[in-house]
Amino acid sequence: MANQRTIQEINEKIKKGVAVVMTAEEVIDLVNDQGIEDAFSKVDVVTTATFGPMCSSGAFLNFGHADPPIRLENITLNGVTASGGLAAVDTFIGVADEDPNSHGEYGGAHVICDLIKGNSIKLKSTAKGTDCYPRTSVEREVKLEDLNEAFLFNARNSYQNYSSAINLSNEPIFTYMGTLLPNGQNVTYSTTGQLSPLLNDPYLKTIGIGTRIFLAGAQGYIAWNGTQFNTSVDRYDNGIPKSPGATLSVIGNLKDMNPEYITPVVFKNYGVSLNVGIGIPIPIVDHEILKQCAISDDQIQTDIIDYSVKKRSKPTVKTTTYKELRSGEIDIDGKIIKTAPLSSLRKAREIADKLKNQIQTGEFLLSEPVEYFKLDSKVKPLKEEDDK
Amino acid sequence: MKTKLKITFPASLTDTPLTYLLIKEFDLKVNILKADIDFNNVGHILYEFTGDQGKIQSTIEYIKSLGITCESIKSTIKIDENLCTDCGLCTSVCFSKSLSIGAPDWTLSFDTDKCIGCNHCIPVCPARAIKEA
Repeated sequence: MANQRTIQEINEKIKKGVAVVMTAEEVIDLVNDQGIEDAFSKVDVVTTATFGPMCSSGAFLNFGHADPPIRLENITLNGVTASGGLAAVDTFIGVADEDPNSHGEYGGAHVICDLIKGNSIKLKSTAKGTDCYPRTSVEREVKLEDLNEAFLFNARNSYQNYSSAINLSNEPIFTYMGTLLPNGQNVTYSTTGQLSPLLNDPYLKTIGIGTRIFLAGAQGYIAWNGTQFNTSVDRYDNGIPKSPGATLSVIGNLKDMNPEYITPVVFKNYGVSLNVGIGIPIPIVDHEILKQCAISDDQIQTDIIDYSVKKRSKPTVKTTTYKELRSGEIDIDGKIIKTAPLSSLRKAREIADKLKNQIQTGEFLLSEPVEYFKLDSKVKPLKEEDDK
Repeated sequence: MKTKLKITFPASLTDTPLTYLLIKEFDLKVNILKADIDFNNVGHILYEFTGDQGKIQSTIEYIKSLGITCESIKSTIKIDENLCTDCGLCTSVCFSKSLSIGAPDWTLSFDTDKCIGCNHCIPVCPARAIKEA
């Protein structure tokens, strides 16, 4: 019995409509029932997914030239400041920038999602005027279809094993992990555990630059490693990082996205972010990768961190498993504490199923990475003033 | 059977000792979930009554006869299902466990009977899907 197959062979099967695709949840049962060897002969691709807030997102937009032309400088889109630091009619809008008149309720994420929904947005810009771009102001209502290019770029997402949060102080705190009640009354966590993309391929053996992915309904790509990419992190015996590890940069066409899989979010007293739906197919090329895909929530450990400590390095209160977090409550020093997710497992499952369906019907082909990621990357803190 | 009543006192009647009157007249089991007086001197109380529907109905009519607005409500919040992504973050601040999420389907459930009207979930919902009813 063969114990290896190539991405090319899998793609041939996909084109013939005979590839067997399962989600990362379904494959756990298959491996538990039949063992690695038999399961390997029965599954070609495993789909993974996540749907959660990914703050390091934004979009590059090109508006086309006005007549006479302008070099867009002080740019707002629906009141949200966008970068005036690119070529004449290009801009980048970050999801966390806010319209100052919206009391933190409308930001770049809303602009991007409004565009995807087909709504008009208001572009306003002033400029100093140059010989080649004489115009000094412009104001237009534009829709996504009016733009030349519009693509999402996300510099850090799909965090591998992001830590869970608790607040042991006696005041509530308002964070990107939600509102953390005083005296450790709740724990929030943000990953889809056994369905999470990078927890299914912890050593990034099949995922690299150029990997085609499901990105908010579009076919997008992994463009680069994500920022704060940490592959030299300590790991458990099953390969799962002991603290936040790898991350991805991804890119995709806004014009192909579906508003069901990309939505704006607002965290009280923190700000605006963007829920991004991502699905990553994992080609089952050998037994090793199948073993990784079969790891279940009870085997994925993660740390609960005290967010009330106002330091870069926050203490770990407890190391737990996703099975325990998913149960809805957790025992910390004899006290039963409520747990709640931040990323939507319901949406992630929908994405994993959709991607599975797209692969089965030949709509989505797997791609071989053009380059694999390094496994010795470290993360540095900001240089201190007295560092030499 | 539990019933929530939202009471609004016009400014001229804000000092009415309504809770006392209701207990005395109707022998009702009353739980005050929320009470305040706003800057227009309009008073607000959110009651939860336990008792049979007939008794609740006569209570509502009695309160209205005093010139006080009274509305029977299921809960103090409404959830827009088109905006809700079933993330589950609202459950992290729901002390009464009226909002819950879990296996097998991981979609948000809302049990209006358990809701005590604290409204902590409203600002916490990142999708802004929960609004005051």
